[in-house]
Amino acid sequence: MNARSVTPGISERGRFGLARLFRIREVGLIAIVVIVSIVAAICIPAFRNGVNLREMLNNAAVVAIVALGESLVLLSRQIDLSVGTILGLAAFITGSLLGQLSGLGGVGIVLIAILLPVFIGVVLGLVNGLLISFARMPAIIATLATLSIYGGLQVVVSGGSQVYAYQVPTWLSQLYTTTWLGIGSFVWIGAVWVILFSFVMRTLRWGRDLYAMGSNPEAARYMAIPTRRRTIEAFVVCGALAGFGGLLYIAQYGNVDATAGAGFELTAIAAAVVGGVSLFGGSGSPLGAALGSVLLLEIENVLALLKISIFAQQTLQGVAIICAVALYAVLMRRLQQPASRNRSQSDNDTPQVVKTEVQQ
Amino acid sequence: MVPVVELHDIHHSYGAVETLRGVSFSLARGEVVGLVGENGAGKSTIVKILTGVIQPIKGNIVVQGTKRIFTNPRAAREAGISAMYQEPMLFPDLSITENIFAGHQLTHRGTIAWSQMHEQARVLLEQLDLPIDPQTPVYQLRVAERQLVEIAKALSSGAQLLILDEPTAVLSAREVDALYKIVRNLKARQVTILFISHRLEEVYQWTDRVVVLRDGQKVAEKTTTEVTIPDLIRDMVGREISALYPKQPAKLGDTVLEVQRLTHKGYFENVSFTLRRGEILGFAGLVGAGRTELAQSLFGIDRIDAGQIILAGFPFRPRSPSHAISCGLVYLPENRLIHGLVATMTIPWNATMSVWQKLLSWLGVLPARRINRLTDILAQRVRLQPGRRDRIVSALSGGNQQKVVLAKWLATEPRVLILDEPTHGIDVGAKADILAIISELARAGVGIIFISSEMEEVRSMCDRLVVMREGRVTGIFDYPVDSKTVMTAASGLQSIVEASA
Repeated sequence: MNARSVTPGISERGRFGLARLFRIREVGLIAIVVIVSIVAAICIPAFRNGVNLREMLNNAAVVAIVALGESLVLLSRQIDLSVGTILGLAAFITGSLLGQLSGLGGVGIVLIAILLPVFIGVVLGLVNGLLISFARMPAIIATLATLSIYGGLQVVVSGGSQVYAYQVPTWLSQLYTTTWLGIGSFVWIGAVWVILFSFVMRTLRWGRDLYAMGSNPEAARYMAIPTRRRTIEAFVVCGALAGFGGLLYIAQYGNVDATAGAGFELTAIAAAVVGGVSLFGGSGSPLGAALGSVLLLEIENVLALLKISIFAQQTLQGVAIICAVALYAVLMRRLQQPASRNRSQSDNDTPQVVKTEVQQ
Repeated sequence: MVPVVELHDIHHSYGAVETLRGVSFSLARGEVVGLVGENGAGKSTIVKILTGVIQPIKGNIVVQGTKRIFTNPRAAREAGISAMYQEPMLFPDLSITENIFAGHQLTHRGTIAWSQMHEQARVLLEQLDLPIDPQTPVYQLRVAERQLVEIAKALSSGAQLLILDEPTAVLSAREVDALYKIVRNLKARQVTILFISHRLEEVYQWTDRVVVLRDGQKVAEKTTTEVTIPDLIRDMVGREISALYPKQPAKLGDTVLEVQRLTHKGYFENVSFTLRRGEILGFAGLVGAGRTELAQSLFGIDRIDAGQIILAGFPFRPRSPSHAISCGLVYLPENRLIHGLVATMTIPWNATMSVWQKLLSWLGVLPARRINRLTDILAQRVRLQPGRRDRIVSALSGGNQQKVVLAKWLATEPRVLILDEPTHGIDVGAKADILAIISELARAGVGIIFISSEMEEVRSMCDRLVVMREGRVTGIFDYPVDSKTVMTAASGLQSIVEASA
């Protein structure tokens, strides 16, 4: 689109042209991922290794799929703390069933392998959604409770046993090392989800409703958006994606035990937030969440390759996340300067600023 | 000619409080109608009923000849009624386009037609003289621009009636002129406008007809050219209610606070006044006149750019609220639940919060016995209704909450007490109580600054009245002062009226 002539005064030139490119928040994130990759590739030869890159990206894809679901919930100003145990429970149940059906083969098994974990995720997500929409529990409390419940179920169901790699059908266990066009299969699968949800969130009413609810819940009700229903749907989709993540988890590790997926929710939330999804709703994107996952796993990978002790690694990973987010914030402020100048000006211009903004 | 919208005998109540008692009026096509009245007269309730936010308990809304009941604002919008509320109902993270088309996005085979929407948004913005890229997120806009987005939103849904609820309260003079032009344009396009404003000269200038509300009833409906502003004021204010205001004569002592040419750029400028011991000094003015900001600067919350303060004979430059408190100047904030109280704590903890330091035992422990004893003394002073002492303050009525805030400040034995809308949202009985306490405090020698938007209240309670407009003092009046004079000074019809010696 071409920039039109602008009358000075009300508007500013900066709003057109270059600023438009950088208004796409992902641009800054891609830049950081690229910078980190280049520096790592130059400094650490092992990072450039094909297998390392494939594994790192495959792992990132699993995180990205779960973070994608989480970001839908975050965008609508909710939070889901139970995705880790949804992933674990789906992985365990699916894994043990596949182990028992190992004699069978064919398309039926593949379908079960794909649909069962997703179905488990849908059911568990629905429980979350109903608790929040109808029992009116705050999402953080409701999903903290279900985190505990689902985790307990996982222990009960497993009964102390675990799924071993040899029980997993070969087509599934080989998926992790399969490449298509030189790129890991997980990356392709993750990309399909990201593209699908980018489309949904950008061009379907359903997606825009979630943004609206997160940006201004009261105005969303004024617009007669069915907020309860959308909330339930967001949790269901989030659960479904976490369940699907469980399938990939089986393929990734082979062994699934009672603690599989524990702590995964924090990784997913961290990835979404690093990727620019606001914890206060309304802003962020599926692509951002995916890029956040890549950045997070890249940092983890670099620290592992540097052979830093596992204990220090965790600390450094946290520091690296803070640095990345800070760098991103500085970068974005630089690029969006015209906008922020406009904002401060408005504060001086109007004698009375709405005081109750803090209330929300 | 069929009116665009008619209201027939609309009743509404919140609990036992009747907010509207049978209001009827109609709005013709292309007409600009002013809706005026004091705070609490029912203007906002009318807006909410017209836009479907709330529903009347009795009465009808007739839109172009058909009876309608709106259950949500979108339904009203689809029927051609849109409003620009005092607090914009926008999605700050989303683009202008998306805000304009919220709820009625253009779609193409189920997917949102962004480019088409952006193009239409651009056209709408150009009509409103707002040459901004419609993809700009709304949080980057200033208030005046956000209002235009609201108007664009209304136009995009084919509004027949546009309600402007206090649009000018947050605008600068230049922005008000721009908005006025837009209102003229809309009128020329046969859009009906219901304009609500406290600024009567704007109502006078902008409207064809004026409807005056008082206490939930329509008291007058006149063609604008046939009324004068003093007429409107008389209709709005109505009767005198001096019995409600228990002002006792107090002996005025020495000057306790002197403020000289105090300035906080953008909020208030060159404000000078003196306050004597035992005096109640009222501050009147419209919302946004800079009174709260002045109080907050005196209390050390906001900056001071220039000017001097002399407190009890010594120069005083507030560094922080705790500094101001230790110097004997305290501030009862406008919003008691957010700034005045810790809503989840009990009465004793709240009431003694300001003096916890002094109540500490030598081990650094806060003994409950001391807290409770002090609370009992304070409760008596502020006439806090007896009852369970250990109640959580959020469970108290507005009046009792305000008494707890008052108690908190009385515990510090202040020299100067600044009250910001102390009776806002409080029922009549508790209001009289609070005003009586204020009067007693004045008798005890406290200098009181009393900010209030309720004309009768400030007029009746105060020894002198400072009127502010747009950050400047436009008049200082001695008791008694008639409300017409105050309204004139507050709305700036004549620039400076000097009535005081």
